Amino acid sequence: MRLDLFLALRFLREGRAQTALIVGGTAVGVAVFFFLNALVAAVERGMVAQTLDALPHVVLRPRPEAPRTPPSPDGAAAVSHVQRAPQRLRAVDQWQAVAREVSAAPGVRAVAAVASGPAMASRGEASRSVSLIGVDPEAYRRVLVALPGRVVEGDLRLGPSEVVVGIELAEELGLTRGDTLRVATAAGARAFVVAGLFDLGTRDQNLRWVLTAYRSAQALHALPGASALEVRLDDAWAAAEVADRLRRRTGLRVESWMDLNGRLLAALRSQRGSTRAIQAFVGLAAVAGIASVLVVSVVQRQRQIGILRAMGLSRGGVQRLFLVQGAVIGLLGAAAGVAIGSVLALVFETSARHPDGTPLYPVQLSPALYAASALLALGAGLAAAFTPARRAARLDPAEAIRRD
Amino acid sequence: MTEPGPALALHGVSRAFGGSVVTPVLHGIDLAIDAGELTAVVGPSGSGKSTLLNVMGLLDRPTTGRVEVFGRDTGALDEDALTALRGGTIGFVFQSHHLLPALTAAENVAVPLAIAHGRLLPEHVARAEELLGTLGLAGHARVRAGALSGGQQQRVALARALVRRPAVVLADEPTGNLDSAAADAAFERMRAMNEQLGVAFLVVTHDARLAGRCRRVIRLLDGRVVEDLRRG
Repeated sequence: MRLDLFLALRFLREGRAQTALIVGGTAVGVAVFFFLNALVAAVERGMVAQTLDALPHVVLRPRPEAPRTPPSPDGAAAVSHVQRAPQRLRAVDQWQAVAREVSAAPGVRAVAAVASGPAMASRGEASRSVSLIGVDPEAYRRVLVALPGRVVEGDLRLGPSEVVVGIELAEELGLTRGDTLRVATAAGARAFVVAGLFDLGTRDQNLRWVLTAYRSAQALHALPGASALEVRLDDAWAAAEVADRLRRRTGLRVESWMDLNGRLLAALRSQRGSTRAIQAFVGLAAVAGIASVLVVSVVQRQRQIGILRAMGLSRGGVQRLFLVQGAVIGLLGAAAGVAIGSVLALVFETSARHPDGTPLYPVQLSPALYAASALLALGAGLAAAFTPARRAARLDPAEAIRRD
Repeated sequence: MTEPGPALALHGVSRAFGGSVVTPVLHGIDLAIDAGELTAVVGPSGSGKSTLLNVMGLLDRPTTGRVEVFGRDTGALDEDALTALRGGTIGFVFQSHHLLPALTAAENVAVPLAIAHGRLLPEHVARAEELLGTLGLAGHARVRAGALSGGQQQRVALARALVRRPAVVLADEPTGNLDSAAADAAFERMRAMNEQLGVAFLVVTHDARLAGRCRRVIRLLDGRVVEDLRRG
């Protein structure tokens, strides 16, 4: 066995109570790190599943129409006021080609063309302003992956005369499956049969979305093609970056879910930020705890260090001896902390459940999380040992042996 | 192979301590310790015996003068080279033995061998147990150092000092914590090792009786060698 490891283990074993205390402290730090990470990842996955799986990550639309100002040969202003242009419902130019290009872009998982626009839905005397969205159900379920699971009644077949509406609109208009719903747009009006009801979890979607077949919506909105392309990405957090890239490539108006859902983004970011802050403080506390024990150990063992130096142990050897002690404390703390953190995470998963018994936030204990916890503890141990180790290495052997 | 010159030699060595107020402890000491010698260093408290031992043991550098090991000047050596030379050439025995209490007797003795090789090997422990056996501690080799009596600890410390077959063992009051019978026995063990192994011993002691049994006695007073007596 390496001498530094042998002596480090014996020194730690000799001061059992002290070692147990600091390993326990480190374990608590690692457990907090591990549990918080597992918890935040589970909650984030839950939030993402509930929100981002029911939203397109990126949406491409035609650029807003802007009025043309007359050119002025001498550079002086030719007009004093330009009235903003009203935005007509327009289709994406060459949308099939754009859709193919977007599909091939890195990070893009699925693309769906939609023909959507404002409409008025009415039944009897009651009417509501809605968004009539025409989709190909097969393509759309790959973009809004949560949608099939959120159909609470009927299904997403979407025949040419069928619509699927949100539960809140159904409530407002007194709709049930099989009822007739009249939808009017600026270009025309027609009746649809309600084929199903969905609950996407947000009031706006449940009250305003009316899904129908792509061709039916296209005809009713008098659109020559798709009004938008909706995109799902491999990584929802890369949406802003992918949107930038697609904007430059297509020249269209491209918005990410982050642009469209500022509050959700802020909530997720602040959750991540506060978790990092807690972890940083926990890490600092672990480093301070290990360092304090090792500083005391150096003071207590000055004579022993002096003897080892007298017997030929180099300054580097003394330094390694204390660094190894820090590393051993860190690794022992990691093992215990990961065990405690795993139990806490599983208890959390067991206690927070849906009414059907499935976990509210399924915890995934990934190998990366285990590795990160071990590395954190090892790093904390080495960082904490650095100063005491240097101090021990600098001890004058003659002086150290003389001291009581 | 025979090494050139004395095992340890001091040439005009002085040592002073302090910053703004300098306290001289050793004054221009010239001294040579030959291989296989058994030497006592005596003198009243504060005469500079321990400082002399530290300088000879390469634990401390002289303020002026030169320390040579087998004719090699140690002044130009860096800290690591000095440490390596010390580990291979000089053994130490201290009054309080200074064993590592977390280790067994055999492990304590094996530590210098492990330092030399960077790792503790089973043959190091076997060699240590063999040496402890020759010192009458065969049955205590696997006992924690902290659980041994003072006399047993002294023997373990002696074995540790000898395990790398150094040229010189420097012993600072090695019998100071023992009763007279144990001190006699300890001294006899050192003398036996000196004769059997040919290792030079330099023993700092207050005990005139033990000093009288050495072939050479060096008397220090106020940091100077005032007597260097050799017996035939």
